[in-house]
Amino acid sequence: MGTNSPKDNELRQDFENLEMPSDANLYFDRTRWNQITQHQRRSLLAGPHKLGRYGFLGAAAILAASLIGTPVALKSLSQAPVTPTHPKSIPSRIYPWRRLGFVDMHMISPTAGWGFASSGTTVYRSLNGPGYWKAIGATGLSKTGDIVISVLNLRDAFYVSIHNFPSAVTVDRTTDGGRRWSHTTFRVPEYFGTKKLFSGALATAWLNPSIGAVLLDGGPPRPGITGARLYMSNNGGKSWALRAQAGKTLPGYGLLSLSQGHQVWLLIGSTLWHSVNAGSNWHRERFGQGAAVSTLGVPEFNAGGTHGAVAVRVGTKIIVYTTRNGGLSWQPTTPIATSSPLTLFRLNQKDLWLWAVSYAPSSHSKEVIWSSINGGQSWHNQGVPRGVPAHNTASQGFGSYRFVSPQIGFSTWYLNGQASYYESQDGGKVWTPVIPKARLSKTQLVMVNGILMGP
Amino acid sequence: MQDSEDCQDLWMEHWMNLYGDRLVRYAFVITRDPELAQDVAQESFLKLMLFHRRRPAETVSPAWLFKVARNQAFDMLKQNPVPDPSTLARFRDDGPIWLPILLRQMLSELSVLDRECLWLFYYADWPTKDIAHYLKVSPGAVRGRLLRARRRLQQLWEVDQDGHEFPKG
Repeated sequence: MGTNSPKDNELRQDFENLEMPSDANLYFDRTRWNQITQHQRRSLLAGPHKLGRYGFLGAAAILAASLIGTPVALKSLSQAPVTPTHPKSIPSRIYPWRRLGFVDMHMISPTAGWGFASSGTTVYRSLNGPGYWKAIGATGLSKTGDIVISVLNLRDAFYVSIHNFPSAVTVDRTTDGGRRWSHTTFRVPEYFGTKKLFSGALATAWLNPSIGAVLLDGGPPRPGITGARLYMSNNGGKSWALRAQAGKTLPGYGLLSLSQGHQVWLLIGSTLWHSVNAGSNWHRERFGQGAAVSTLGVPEFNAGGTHGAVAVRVGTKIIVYTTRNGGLSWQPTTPIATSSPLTLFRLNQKDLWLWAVSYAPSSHSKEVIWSSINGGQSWHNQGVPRGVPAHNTASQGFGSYRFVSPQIGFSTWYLNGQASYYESQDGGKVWTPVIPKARLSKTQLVMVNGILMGP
Repeated sequence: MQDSEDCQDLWMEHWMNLYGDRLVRYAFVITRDPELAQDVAQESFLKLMLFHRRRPAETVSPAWLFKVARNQAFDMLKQNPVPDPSTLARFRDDGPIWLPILLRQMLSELSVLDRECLWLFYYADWPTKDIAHYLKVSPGAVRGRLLRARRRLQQLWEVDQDGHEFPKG
């Protein structure tokens, strides 16, 4: 093939800017080729055929038949309907926008994000903000077991699930924005007393698309039976190695995160455990003196695992500690005087949020958001966030929140087991509901909690 | 005789390694039917094998193979009715052949020549000059088809906030 002209390069650049579908996942069938050639090799490739006397007789018979049959065949062909060789474009079938049910919605930017269907395996990509979506692919996993979805960026995401009988962990991975998913399953030895993995006891963490960790639990360790187990992968989930288990080195089951240099962080209750050697040895991370110190979440790190932050309660104050070396040393920021439970979100080195939310809703909960634009040197009390559902019913609860820019954020709330989504354009002061929709036909709809919505 | 067959096999192996999958995908873009595309690729390689057996001294170019596949694909399209949009729906998310949804739409929305130009340019990395020579049209016509295909794909991705139909190309 020749070289590209400048006009070609310009055109190619135009296509690169457009999101193009990946090529068809089709392969040349070698088995069929071998079957064909085995039959034909001898007859067709063994050299020119030599016609014997009977061959000449056969050829003469075929010639005679064709002379008689050709006019008849030509007549029937002339009457057959003409099929156009180059068909015109087929009109598209447009469906109305219909509401989607997501098990997880994860926005990466104000306009682009991921949506995972609550029923079925469809993966959606947002078209222009969190309101409008398009089905882009499907995971290979059903949502029958426990699942944890980890989205790293617009291209890489992991979908981890646990199964029983036999006990196994399945990791689905995509590297092309959700179009194609590769599937890896690793068996977990049935070492648990019940021979089952505990439902709801699955924690995962990814430092980057290559290095990840999975923490499982099978209940408290008993003689001959161990509890939690930590598995790690350094090849994007293709293979997993057991790094630690409860009863030996692992302190137990909890929330998990990773930072640079194979450091693993584990939050059990309000105690933070730290390993600098991929789970081989663990020590308790101490942020202050006395028994009144408790960690409010697992540390959050940036994509490289170097810069991070963690919220710690010291007495009646909350202190956010920050690090620039993956957690080897921590620096305290300005304390906040509050007794409410807080959830920290770290956007970058400067922009931090603390949302006083209760995971156990009660009518006495008071929602307040603090934000910092200077890495925690000063905190601004934004007051009670407006627009999100109040904590006044037992069936309603806070899910999560994340900001994609200093102003734009998204939060998830649950009502009767169904997720509802909110968007803020002013750094978290006011939230407006978001209803994700996609173009769907009637046959694509499913009933979820009595509501007809997209799969 | 055996040596000659082994040489044939190696020669064909080389061609199939280089162009096997690409030929199936190219044929699929024309026919929009994975099974028909597989037929086209098998037939094309069979013709290549026979051609090489009869004229071993002649050089075969990849464009020759693609041309054979193209003719074969259009011949098969003549024999088989033009697939309606539901043909692609057979290859659903949970089917044995996984077609990305956007690709399915691309195949439904673009004309066969636009699809062919787009595939040769974007997926097979052919310059427009070669595509023009191959399709026996002018380079300007190829660029026109590519621009039209790009505009149509862009429309497919555009969000119609009012819920109206996508504009017709």
